[in-house]
Amino acid sequence: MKRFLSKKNVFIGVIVLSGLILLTGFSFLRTEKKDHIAVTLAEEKLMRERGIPHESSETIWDGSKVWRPDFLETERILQKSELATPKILFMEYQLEYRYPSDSRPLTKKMADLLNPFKINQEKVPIFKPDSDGEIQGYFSWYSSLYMVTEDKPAIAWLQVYDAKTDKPVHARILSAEIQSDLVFGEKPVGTADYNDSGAGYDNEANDGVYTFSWVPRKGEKLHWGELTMKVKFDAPSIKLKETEASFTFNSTPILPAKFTGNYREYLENGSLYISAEVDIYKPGQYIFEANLFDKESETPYHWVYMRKYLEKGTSQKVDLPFFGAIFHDRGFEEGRFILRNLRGHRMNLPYDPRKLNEMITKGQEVPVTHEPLQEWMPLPEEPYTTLNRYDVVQFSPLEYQGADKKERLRVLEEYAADWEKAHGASVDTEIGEN
Amino acid sequence: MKSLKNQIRVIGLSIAILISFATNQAFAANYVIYVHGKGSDSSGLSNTNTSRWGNSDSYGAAHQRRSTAWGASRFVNYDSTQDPRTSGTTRAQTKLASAISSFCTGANKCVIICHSAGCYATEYYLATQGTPANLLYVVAGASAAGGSSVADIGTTATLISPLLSLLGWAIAGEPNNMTKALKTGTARSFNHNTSKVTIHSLAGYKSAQPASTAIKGEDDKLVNFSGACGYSSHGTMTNCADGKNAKYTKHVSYCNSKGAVTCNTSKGSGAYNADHSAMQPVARDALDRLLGYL
Repeated sequence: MKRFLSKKNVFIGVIVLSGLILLTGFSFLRTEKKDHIAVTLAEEKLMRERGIPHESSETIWDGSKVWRPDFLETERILQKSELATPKILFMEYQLEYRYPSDSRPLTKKMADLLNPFKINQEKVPIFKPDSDGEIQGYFSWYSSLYMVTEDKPAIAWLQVYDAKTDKPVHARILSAEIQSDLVFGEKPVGTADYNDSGAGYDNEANDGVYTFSWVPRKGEKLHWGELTMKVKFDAPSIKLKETEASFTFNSTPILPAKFTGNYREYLENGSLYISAEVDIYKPGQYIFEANLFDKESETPYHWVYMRKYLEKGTSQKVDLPFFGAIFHDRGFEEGRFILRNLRGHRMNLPYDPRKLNEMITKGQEVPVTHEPLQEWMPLPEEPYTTLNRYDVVQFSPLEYQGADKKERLRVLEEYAADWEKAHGASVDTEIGEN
Repeated sequence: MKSLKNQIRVIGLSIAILISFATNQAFAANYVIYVHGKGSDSSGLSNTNTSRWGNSDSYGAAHQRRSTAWGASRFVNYDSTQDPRTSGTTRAQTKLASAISSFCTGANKCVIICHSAGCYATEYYLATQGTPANLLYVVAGASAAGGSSVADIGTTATLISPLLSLLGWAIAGEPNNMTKALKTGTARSFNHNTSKVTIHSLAGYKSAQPASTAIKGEDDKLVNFSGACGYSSHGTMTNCADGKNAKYTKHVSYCNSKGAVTCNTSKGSGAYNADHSAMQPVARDALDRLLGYL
């Protein structure tokens, strides 16, 4: 061993190793210097060719001119470009990462985010028994709140229609039962109140729209999860015999956490942060979401989506980021903001989410889901309006430059290089044909 | 002589050290990860079972040749009678986590091709676990990530079973936990806008009675356009890219008839003359085009 590690041999080893590292380094440098399609993206040219608006406006930040593209329009046109080369993919992802993944632009068209708990079911057909698919009528459910917590009432409206005329008909309600979550065996856990008399939550008497409501029992485990409202009804006017319509909603009778109603707002690196205070009773992986609007014009600006592991404890802070460039790109000038649709839930996983990869790597068995998937926090009673007025010049127009962006674009550069090797440099593959 | 041998050993050792430095680069591989849809049984839990994707037919064989030119195939064969959002050794979320942590890490690159409820499982994974950095995109054929009107009907009552009979669902064990999870309200109850990669959403419009009457708008007998095309609201959609209704972020559709099934642009980009199961080959062809092999 001593002989093997003699000074001479160690010296030779070091020289050989250094030589090889240098050679390899040179070859890597050469690779980096080589211009791949994606790297040398002729953005302007491509935009011109595809009709993408590139005459975007400019703004000033830190004394320098900054390009301000029309993000939403560019995204729309790129989505329709029907091209699939890594060049286009690179462009799409470069555009995607103009903003971080947890803070995105919100528009009036994003109905799912603007009304996150609204259920508006399409008409469901009611088949005539023993027929060859003859439809006798339809029913549809509507609810403005898919999720309830503690002892807040679950409310839903049911409408029945004649298949021939497509007009609403009066149904006769025979029963309205609440069933527990699948994991608790879909057991009957209560009956819903209902009426079409204009009482309680019913909007109008005798309009044929039945209002159903049910109040979960706070702290009752069987009232947790995705519960089903099963309603049996008939409709003599269209000779509809007894049939059934079911509506699913989410209930959390035991709170995992709650918003305290305390907020703090601050600016950092040209972005706005609104810190919402939470009390966490049950540690775990939480998902927080919220929307930001202009207080005066109601213009939607941002939606936020954050995953965060939180330990048990009171007065913890969840810092919701509202990325600076979005204020510029969405045309904000000056004013206050209003934070709406703030919501949070705990992912009720049967394992510690921080250890999943380790469990998989070690070949450990991942436990089967045996409880409902979500535990919701009660919605804040009031939206939060920012204390300060803001001016767009306080926000940075610069695009996002996080490590995740660099990593994804690096992966795409490699993909582009492989593509070029396999298919040639200038192929602009049309994945669509129109 | 001994000294020469030692010097050779030293040189060999040096090369070995260098190789170990370059290990990441050397072992970089590409993977196509397949995620199948709903099944009425719990078979096919092996990672090598390809039958659920029908790659044994002639088009499938061609696809295999093309896609394997880019990367190796891996099949996420989960228990598709169960809720695709759940965990457990044979459940979709754990199987996906296992596949992604094995094949979408390090210097590897991967793409996901999913069908029907497999896309529901995939989108739920991306929303709750995040998008892996090495995932390039998702190709979604007949995606049920937005649920299915048929599930709205099928979980309701035995009185409305003719449709289920037609679809072969009026069998023992139905409606199972997967069918219940496919109700549109349930499937749309999580945020579908969080993917960091493009979800190529392709839909079929080859319906049949009574599904075509029962399901408003275009459908492939099981999944509505509103879901398969990636629209952010459940509704009566007759065009897969109507430009009026909003789509979930990162969801795109396109047409191309250069494959097993033709595309009808009058029903919008992404609309194929295929029923639900025939959307599997459509998705395979789309992937081949994206990879530059078709």
